[in-house]
Amino acid sequence: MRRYQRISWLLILIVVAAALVASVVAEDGPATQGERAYEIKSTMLCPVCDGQNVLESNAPVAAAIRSQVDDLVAEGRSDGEIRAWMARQYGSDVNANPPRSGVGALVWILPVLAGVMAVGLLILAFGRWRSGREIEPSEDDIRIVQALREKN
Amino acid sequence: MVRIVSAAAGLVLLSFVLLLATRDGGNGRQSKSPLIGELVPHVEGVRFDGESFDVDEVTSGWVLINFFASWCVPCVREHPELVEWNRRHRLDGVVISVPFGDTEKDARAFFVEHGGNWPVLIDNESAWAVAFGVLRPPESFLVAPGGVVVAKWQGQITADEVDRVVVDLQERNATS
Repeated sequence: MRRYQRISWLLILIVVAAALVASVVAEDGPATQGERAYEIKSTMLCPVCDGQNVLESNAPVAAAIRSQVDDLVAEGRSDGEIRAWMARQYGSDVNANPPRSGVGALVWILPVLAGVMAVGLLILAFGRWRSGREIEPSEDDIRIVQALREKN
Repeated sequence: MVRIVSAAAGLVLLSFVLLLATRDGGNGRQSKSPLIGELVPHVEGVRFDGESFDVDEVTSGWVLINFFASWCVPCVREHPELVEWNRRHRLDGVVISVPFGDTEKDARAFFVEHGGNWPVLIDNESAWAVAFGVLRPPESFLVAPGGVVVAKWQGQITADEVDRVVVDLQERNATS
């Protein structure tokens, strides 16, 4: 019975992990041009500023990137193409969000896996703790305890 | 079981450390550019005089593309050097100036005040600036005859500095 319970928990964990990984890796659905441009600009870092995105920054290079993102979105370029172009021009650090493919995808996947593993370990630990409480004392244990009580 | 999980977590942490330790540092003053060794970006533009401009029309000679701003002190300081380089290369080269982070009005006033009779482009959409990956003015790119970008400078340049690259490449081409 307990074995089936563990398998059920494991299956639930696998399904949850797969769903979470799929949700972070999957591309978002289509949006309007304005929304797309805004989303790209809000996740693109100004290359000469400290942690500001190009929407917030007043630096000329941020204005240049904003203007070009608008143009490229209007031209029908995909988000991936625009991000790749900007990364080529200003370095990969210009993209605030790590890529969803290659090594960069680990940044998205590993926290989810770590969370799932942590939950799994907790379940294991609780299971052991509970099963530990059900251990019956042996006759020797009872004899030792009784001897100590009589002594006192 | 716990040992396996600990080992896996350790491996993940180690791979993160290795990943962070081996990646490129953040952007600072760059002297390199992905454009070096590549054909000059094909970006068309409009000059201050209203004429359309295509960089391919001038790549039979040396081209010094300079991104500047009227408010930028190093740009003011380097401008006489651009005038000098343009004088030296009036037969085999040309300077192209592109305002960056500046208004057209102020850029026009800059040329009226400091001189320079070479094409100045209007880059309102920042197509030139992004195509060259310009971070802050002044930045300059030297394009060799044939259209290949051979050098990039961030900050103030001198005519001699640019010519050292020109002469070096001419000598290398003569010996090869």
